[in-house]
Amino acid sequence: MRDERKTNYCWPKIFHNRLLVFLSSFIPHPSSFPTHIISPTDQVGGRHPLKRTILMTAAALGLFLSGCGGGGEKGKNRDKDMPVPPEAKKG
Amino acid sequence: MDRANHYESAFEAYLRDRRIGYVAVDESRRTSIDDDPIKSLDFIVYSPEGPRFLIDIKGRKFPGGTPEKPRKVWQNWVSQDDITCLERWETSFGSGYRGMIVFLYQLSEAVELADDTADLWVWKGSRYLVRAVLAGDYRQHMRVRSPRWRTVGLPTAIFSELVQPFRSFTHPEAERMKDEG
Repeated sequence: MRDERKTNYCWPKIFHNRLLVFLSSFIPHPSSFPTHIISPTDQVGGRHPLKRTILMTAAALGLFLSGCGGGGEKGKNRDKDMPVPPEAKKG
Repeated sequence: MDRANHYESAFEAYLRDRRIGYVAVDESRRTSIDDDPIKSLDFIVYSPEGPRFLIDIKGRKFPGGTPEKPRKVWQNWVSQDDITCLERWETSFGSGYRGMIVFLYQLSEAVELADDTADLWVWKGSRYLVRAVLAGDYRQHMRVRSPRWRTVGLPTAIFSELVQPFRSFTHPEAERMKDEG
């Protein structure tokens, strides 16, 4: 029986990438930026497009940088912990 | 068993070295129960102190992942069919036989373990850690790992409670005396 099954899936990474694609859809094209100054209150239901763009870009950048750490809890102390056999220690 | 599989060959060599009686099941022959084809066992092991074991060998590397990104996880996943077939073999053989999954972890050279680590087996230049879980215990606690691949696994904490060096099952009395002494 052959049991080695190589999988290159990394679900946090895939989720992270898909989230970035989703967020990028909210970023307006620069051509849609207003050429005159308007008050945020003039916008229906929200922020000035440029401000929204900056916020969304910052959020996406933050997500990207947090993803660069790789693996979250799994990666914690990865090199510090010496391996021990899988069974619980007795006594 | 498949002698081209180094995990299974390593386990057979381990059994011989420890003078444990066994029957190696020829995997190339078709196996069936009541005319219904079933995945074959790898070994039937005769324990001098306890029940006999119907064994399916699972080979895993430790650490897993790539050399650049090693994953120090003692992988314990198996396929749903492995568990189902072991259960059927158990029923067929009767009460004196227990289904068992034996994990052979092939250790990379970078892994350091204490010299007195139980069932650390060196064979043909490779180091293996021989660990086992009873199929009944596994079945009781297993969770679906991948519906698409039809694999199941045990949470790490539960796996730690259930898994033991293989000799703890074949020589439970000796292990108990060693712990007390």
